[in-house]
Amino acid sequence: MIGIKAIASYIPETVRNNYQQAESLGEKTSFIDNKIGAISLPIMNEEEDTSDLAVFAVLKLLEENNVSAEQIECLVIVTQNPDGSGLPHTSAIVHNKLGLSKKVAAFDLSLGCSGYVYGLTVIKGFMEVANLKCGILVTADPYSKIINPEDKNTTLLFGDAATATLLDDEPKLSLGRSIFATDGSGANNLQVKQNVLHMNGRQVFNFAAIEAPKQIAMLLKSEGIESTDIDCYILHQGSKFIVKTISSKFEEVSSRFLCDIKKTGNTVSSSIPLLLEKIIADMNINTILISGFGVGLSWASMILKRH
Amino acid sequence: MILTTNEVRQAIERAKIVMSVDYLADDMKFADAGVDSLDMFNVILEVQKAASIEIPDDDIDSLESIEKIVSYLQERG
Repeated sequence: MIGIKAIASYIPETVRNNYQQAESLGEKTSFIDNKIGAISLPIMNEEEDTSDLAVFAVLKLLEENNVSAEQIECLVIVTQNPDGSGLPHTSAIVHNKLGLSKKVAAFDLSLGCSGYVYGLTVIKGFMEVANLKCGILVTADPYSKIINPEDKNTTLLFGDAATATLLDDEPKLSLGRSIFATDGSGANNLQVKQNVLHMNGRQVFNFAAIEAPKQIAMLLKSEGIESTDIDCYILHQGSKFIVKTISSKFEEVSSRFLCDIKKTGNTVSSSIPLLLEKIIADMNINTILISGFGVGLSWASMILKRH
Repeated sequence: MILTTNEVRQAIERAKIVMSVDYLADDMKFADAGVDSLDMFNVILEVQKAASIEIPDDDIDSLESIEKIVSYLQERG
């Protein structure tokens, strides 16, 4: 059965100082510390593009796991900020940059912060149906391409990063039960207009604060387990504030909700795998609940179990 | 639905934005008590739930104290 074998990431070295940004936008440093949670935001270099972030993450994954490029049979990239205008698909560009075989199936998946949970399900299903044994799921959605640096609703939040997840039939983590949801009536609360990201912070917060806890509770119930049966909760790291708000709805296990956003900010679909990468080797953690929510509006939660 | 001052205070308590809602006088501006814009999202969300109404984005800025919230809800009926 296809599952998660390993995860690697690429975080650009160039960073934006969030205290300085906050000061120039009239926000207090305490707002950054207590609410946003990110003191620096990685930003990709001007000469780089989305495909470069993806390539760096994949190369690191291959190197760390002694996997050769020839072994890859499937490449899926989750992004809504592709190279150029998205035609050709970024996964084809990455395929070429990595020098992969012509036998590789490669396609993009257009989703934001729920994208990793969706992506895991899509690539697992695709690989099992197509009888493929080695696939890579990439998340690379550099919002620096669409951020207005004068808009404090967005410029204090988002950082660039990419992750690469290796999936094969000898996994460390199995994909368990999952729930997916969409509310297109809220699509305009988080959208790009004339190449600039616009976010209605209050409406996006309301959506996440109401729907994510509901979906997590529903997932636990449908699995027939209690919140205490999950060793670790990894939410999309939208901001320190939203992670804290959602975790407060699960008081008995709130300390099991990871919050690690200080040096990355909100990296969209990369935020969950960035944290998963840090704990995948921790043998004390056997059951993990991941939950992503954002653009769409779209939200998805899944239980992962140590194999 | 109209809420009493006490019910608004309970909603703020559930929003967990201040150590104790007892320190907030009815006419004290939330901003003066150190409540920032993101905390207000939580306050309004709890008030919405308690009053079973949707508060439009344009009305948020006027809801700057407990008594302003109470009178706003009374006006909305």
